[in-house]
This record gives sequence, C-alpha cells and structure tokens, in this order.
Amino acid sequence: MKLTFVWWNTSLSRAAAPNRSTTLEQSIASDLLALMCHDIRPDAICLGEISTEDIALLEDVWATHGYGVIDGIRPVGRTSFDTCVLFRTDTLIALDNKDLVAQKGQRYFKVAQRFDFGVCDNETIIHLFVSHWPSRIHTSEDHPHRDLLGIRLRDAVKETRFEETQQHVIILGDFNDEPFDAALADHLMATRDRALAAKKSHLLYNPFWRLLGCPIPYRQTSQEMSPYSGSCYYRSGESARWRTFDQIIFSPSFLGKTSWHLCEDLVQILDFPFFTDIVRRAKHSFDHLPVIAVVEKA
Amino acid sequence: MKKFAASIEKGLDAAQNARLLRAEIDSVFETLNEELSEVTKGKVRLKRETFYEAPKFGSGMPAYFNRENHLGLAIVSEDMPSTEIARWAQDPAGYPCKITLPERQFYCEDRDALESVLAELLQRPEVGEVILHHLRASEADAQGVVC
Repeated sequence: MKLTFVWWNTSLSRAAAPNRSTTLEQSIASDLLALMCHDIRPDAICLGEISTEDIALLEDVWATHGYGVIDGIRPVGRTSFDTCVLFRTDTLIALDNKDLVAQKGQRYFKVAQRFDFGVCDNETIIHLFVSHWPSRIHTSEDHPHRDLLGIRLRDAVKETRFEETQQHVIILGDFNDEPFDAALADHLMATRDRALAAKKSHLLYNPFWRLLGCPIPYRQTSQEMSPYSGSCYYRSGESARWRTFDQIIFSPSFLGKTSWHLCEDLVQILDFPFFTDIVRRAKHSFDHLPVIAVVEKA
Repeated sequence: MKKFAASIEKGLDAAQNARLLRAEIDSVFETLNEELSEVTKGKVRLKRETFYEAPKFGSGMPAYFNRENHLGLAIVSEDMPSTEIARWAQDPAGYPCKITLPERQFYCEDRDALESVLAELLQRPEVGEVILHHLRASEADAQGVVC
C-alpha cells in the first residue's frame, strides 16, 4: 500500500489580498489540480495561499475525483491560516485537526495546523503538520521569529510522542526557509543525514536537502537546460532565482523502524512543463511548484 | 581552573528568573480571579487543576490508581464539581504557557500573550455558559433548591 502527499502553495489568495487571482489564474490552478488528481491521485493534497472562495471554485475538480476537504482557513488576530487539505475519502479518514499558534505580546505566529488521519489499513494514524511561515519580506532570513517558529513546531511535533512510540509524522509546507536554515535544520531538527535520523529517534529526516539545485547535471553536450533549480521562483533573486522553500519532512518511523517506509526516489518537485513555464515567465502570481512525497507499507 | 562555577552561576540565575516568571504568571491568574470574583460576587473562580482520565471499563483497581492525568484550566465553585474549559501546561522556566482548546493550541510566550489568550477564552460563549451554570448552582444552593 502506498500513500502520496502533495504540498502546493497555489498563490491564489494571500491573507492581505484574499481572492486576488484572475479568472485565468483560477483556470490554470484548476487545470493543474485536475492533472494531479487524475494522473497522480495523491492521497492528500495540501494547498496554501488559498481562500474558502478558491476552495469552492475548485470544488468541481476535487469533488469529481473523490476528494473530501478540510477547510483550514481560520482567522488568527488580524491575519488568518491560509491552507486546506484535500484528501481521498477512499484511503484516509479525517480524525482531528488543530491550529497551532504562538503568541508573543500582541503578535501571532502561525506555527502549523495539525491534521490527524486514519489510514484505510485500519491500523495506521498519520499526523500531518501543514505550515506556511511568513515571507522573507516581512520576516527576514535571520529574524529570531523564524527560530521561534522552528522551536514551537518542534514542540508540537514532539507532542505526538514520535520518539517514544514511533508515531508517523509528516511535516509539509512552504517554510520560506531552506532545508539548511536554522529554523528547520537546528530547531525542528530536520536533518540531511538519513543514516543518523534512522539511528537517533529524536531526529526528523528532510529529503529536500537532495533537491536544492538543478535536477539535471550539466554536461558540455547537454542540450537540455534544467527548467527549475528549487521549488520557489523569485525573478529578482540576486544570487539565485530558485529557492527550496517547499518541503516535506518525515519522522524516523518511515526509515526502517516500522512497516512504513519513505519511497525517496518518488520525493520530487513536480515539474508539469506547462506550469513550470508559467512560473518561470513570472507574468502571473504563481511562484511555487508543487512538491510530492510517497510512503509505502511493506 | 574552575570547571563548573560558571555553569552553577548560570543555573542559579535561571532558577531565579524562572521563579520571577512563575510569580508573574500567578499574578495574572490572581488579577483574573479578582475580576471574576467581582462579577460573580465571589462565587466562581478560575483554577489550574489536575484532571484524571477515566479508567477503561473492566481494567481493574491498578488502572484506577495509575490513571493518566493532565493540568487543566477549570471553572470552580463551591456547589458543583469543577469544569475543565481548556488544557494547561507551563514550561518549568515559566513561559511558554500552553493553552489547548479543541480546535486551537496557543503557546503564550509572555505576560501580554497570556493575558490576551485568557481574555479570548473568557469571551467564548461555551465558557460563559459554564460560568452561568456554576452561578445558577450557587444560587439554587443558597435558596435550598436541588438542581
């Protein structure tokens, strides 16, 4: 049995500008979602930068493909969570969900939303943590608030008791941080070292360390240019236009400690050529490619 | 060369700081209770209290004595068992204080945040309902009526 998880920051709505997308952008998002639902059939598709209205606009696509929805759009202070989870009702059962919010003074920090799913094998529970952390425009790369987000996400993940009882935890989202940034690597403890993560139960494994650059190695004779070098495109980037801000991170229970295993060869940044081209042209609001990961029960 | 002196100093400072922060947190609850007491004429209080999970049926006496427990925020009065309105946890160093509601978990990182989350909690209709319930029980008891 396999389970497939997708994260996509849709760019359709932002907390400060909800429902900002044009009809054309909505149509592109709908086409991409239909492609994913039809061709890949992920068990859970987590969407970011989306509004309740956007979810309704896309309903034709997800409902006809047999997906249920958990609308996670919920206000927090003057902002709001902007994510939702589409899930296959034939493979997953929604058990519970909770917003995780840190507050410092009058400022709120959207740490994550936790979604607990039962799997149709009748014995597995997956704890999904979906995060969309602030952009670097509002919270700079080295801002201590990023440390706080990493520390509190770690606290929340620890509450599943994944270390002691081999709970299955999958953390996915747009962190606006790369795998090597302190919030993820040091505070969340999402390591690049798979062997160490398999050995030490307190570490999480981040397979997106492998997806920091071009997927195609350079060769003198190569005609093919890499269409992307990360998951997020920023045309005015000085040293790089691509960043790997979108990631999927795993508890060590998927690394040989239980019957569930990460299929690392299927962890990817999703390259649908028509959509990657739209992101690179930067004429529309889309600036993120979807990311995907698969786990398998032996 | 001293090996541990600096660590001991640090530990003492941290303990002192934690004491101050715990006292600050206590003072937030004192203020809240003063105001709650004013509104309810001294009949209702908010308390941090230990709650025990119900043992599974048929699991016997040992399970009863080893029940899991957690801290909660409870509305208490003299005439009714206390009612849990949220889960509560506090870092040994003081902050963060964690307040867990069915749909949201707050990490309060400082006094302002704690006051603000407690105020938000008290505004909830379901919490207002619990306070009313306790008040009615007190009033019924004062009149000798059995609820």
